[in-house]
Amino acid sequence: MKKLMKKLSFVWVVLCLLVIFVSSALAKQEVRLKWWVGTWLWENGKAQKMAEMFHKEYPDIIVEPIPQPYEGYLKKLVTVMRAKNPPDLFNAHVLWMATLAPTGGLMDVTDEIHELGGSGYFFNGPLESTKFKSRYYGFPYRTSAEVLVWNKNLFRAAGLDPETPPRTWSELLWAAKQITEKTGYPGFGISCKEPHASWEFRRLILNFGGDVVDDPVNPTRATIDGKPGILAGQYYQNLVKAGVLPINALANNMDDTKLEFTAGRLGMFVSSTAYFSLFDEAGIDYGVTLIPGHGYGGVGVEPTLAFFIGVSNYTEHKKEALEFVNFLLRPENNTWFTEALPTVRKAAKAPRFDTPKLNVVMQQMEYAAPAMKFVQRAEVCNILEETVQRIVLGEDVERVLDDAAKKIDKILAP
Amino acid sequence: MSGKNAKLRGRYFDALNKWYFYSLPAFVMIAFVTIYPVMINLFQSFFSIGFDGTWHFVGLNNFEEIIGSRIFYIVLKNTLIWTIGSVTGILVLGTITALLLNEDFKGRVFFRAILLLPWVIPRVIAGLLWKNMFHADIGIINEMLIRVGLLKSPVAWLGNPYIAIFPVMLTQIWQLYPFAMITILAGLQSIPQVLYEAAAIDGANGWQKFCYITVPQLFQVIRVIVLLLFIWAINAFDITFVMTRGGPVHSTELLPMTIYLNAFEYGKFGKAASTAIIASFISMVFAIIYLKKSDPVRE
Repeated sequence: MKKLMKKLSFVWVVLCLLVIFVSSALAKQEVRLKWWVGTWLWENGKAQKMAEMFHKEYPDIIVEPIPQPYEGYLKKLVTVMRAKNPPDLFNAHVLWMATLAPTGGLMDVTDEIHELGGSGYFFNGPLESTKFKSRYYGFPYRTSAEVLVWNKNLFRAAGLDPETPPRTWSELLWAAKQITEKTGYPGFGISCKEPHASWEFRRLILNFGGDVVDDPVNPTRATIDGKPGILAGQYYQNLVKAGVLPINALANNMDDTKLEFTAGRLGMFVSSTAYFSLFDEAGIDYGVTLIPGHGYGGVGVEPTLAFFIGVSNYTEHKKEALEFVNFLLRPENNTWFTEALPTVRKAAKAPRFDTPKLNVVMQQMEYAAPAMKFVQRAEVCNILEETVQRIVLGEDVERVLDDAAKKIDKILAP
Repeated sequence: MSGKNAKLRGRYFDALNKWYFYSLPAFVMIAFVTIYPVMINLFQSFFSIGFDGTWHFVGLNNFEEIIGSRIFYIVLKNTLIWTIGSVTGILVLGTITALLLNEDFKGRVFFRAILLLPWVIPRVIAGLLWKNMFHADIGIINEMLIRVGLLKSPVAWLGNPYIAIFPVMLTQIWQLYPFAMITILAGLQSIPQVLYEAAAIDGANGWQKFCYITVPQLFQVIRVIVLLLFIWAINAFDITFVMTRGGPVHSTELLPMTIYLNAFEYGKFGKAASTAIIASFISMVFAIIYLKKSDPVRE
């Protein structure tokens, strides 16, 4: 009897285990995706809202947005990719593509981009920015172009026509001087600190017909010491001599310049569209116009500024991650998700983008130049920061640019 | 029990009684968290390590590049000025406040608490606070100095490469002087009062008492404080990063910032490792010389 009971108990236990095993295998498993989100989205709750909407449509998939401050974000991404443990999804700047793609942590999404419709679906500039060695490694979701903004009240106070912004860099210098002389406020703001110093100085060199390196994607040598670079450097020194820069210019980046403009204490600067809402909240009477030209087609060029969503190459839930990306990139979602401009062509047709100011930005995007996207970019940008600071301090422009060119050549040498 | 087993058991229990057996877990922990990372760092310094994780042996190339770089000497000079300036400032201010708080007066407890506040504030917050205060346009320091007539126009404290190191140093001094203050105060309170009474009977004035009683009695305390402050100063990163990011034109860049830039901005982990080795070597040499020279037993 005892032996029989033992056998029956054993069979019962095995049966229970079998039932548990089968039912758990059959039971629908919820998939959880980790999504690193830059706090530029997190702060206004858009990422959480997007995740909630997605979960309603896909109840088996939960997307967990995890906020990441912009400062140090690239380093974090590089660290987790080298550790082969990145989050399933993450937002990132297209400028970081050349740093992130070689780590092997980004999924090649070329086929998925073509399935969506390629450049028929996305704007060309931001789409091409997600390429690395002819393959796509991210889905562009947000783009922008910087434009010249001017404070109409300060224009009036300086005796300038508030509806007629400068069209060339020479006109800009003259207008800035008028503002400084007649109002006491700085007429034009520039960044002398990263991450904006290199961007702005390169923009000026582009507008004078040159570039920092021979190729922004596969550079072999520096070209910063050519005539356009010298003209750009001399222009910066002319701004200093005219006394139109803020006192703190050497310590300022665009965030500091934006604060001065928002406080109504700066005449003009080249601004990101992301700051427009701040100016509106502060009640600044400001205008938006194209980047001044300099005999270069009449309109200044501006490197493409875009963000993309990457999918981890190591995620166990590629299918689910791609479903979320497709959901996010639907025109109706791409319209409201971005603070700047959408990358999906249909999304850009939404009424909220049809404003005079954003129309100027869309127009500026037609004059986009490729951004610098190579592995040594960060080091080259720090050299540009030092170059800008030395120029603003009054050192000989040609000597400073020659130094910069030598350092850049050394970095680019194979 | 057989004879052989008994011998083995005896040896086993003997080992259990040895000091190294009980210290082994601690040694393993120290080796894992200290020696292993240092050895890995040393190993990395002989390689060029790319973003894709590949290692290329370059020998002493990283060290040659650093020592041959003009910026390295600027950073070294900054680190020296920063270390000497901040340690001196912290020690002097800490000593003065400790001496004042050692006196008996109404509200002493309250002032002891208030003067500790800078140390309690996180360093990053302290850096941001002082960065705003030193802002050329909207900072309160310029505003106050102009109102009292000490300045005619605003000064770009953090935007002028010739003076930017000083506001940053001031922040470090402000943040750390409470540590020196509280440690010296504890030392002051352990000095026997009878020494001062005897000195008073012999006709010593305040300054003489300070020089011949207070300072010698506090020597060991000050010795340790200086060493700790030196180590903290040479490892300082957060305040300079938050306030100036090493600029303008490298004028506030310190060795830890250079290591950080090489590792996390440029992706040159090998070069960062070699800079860390050089920085550690400098710290070690100073610490050894300092401890030997200031050893009272040796003297």
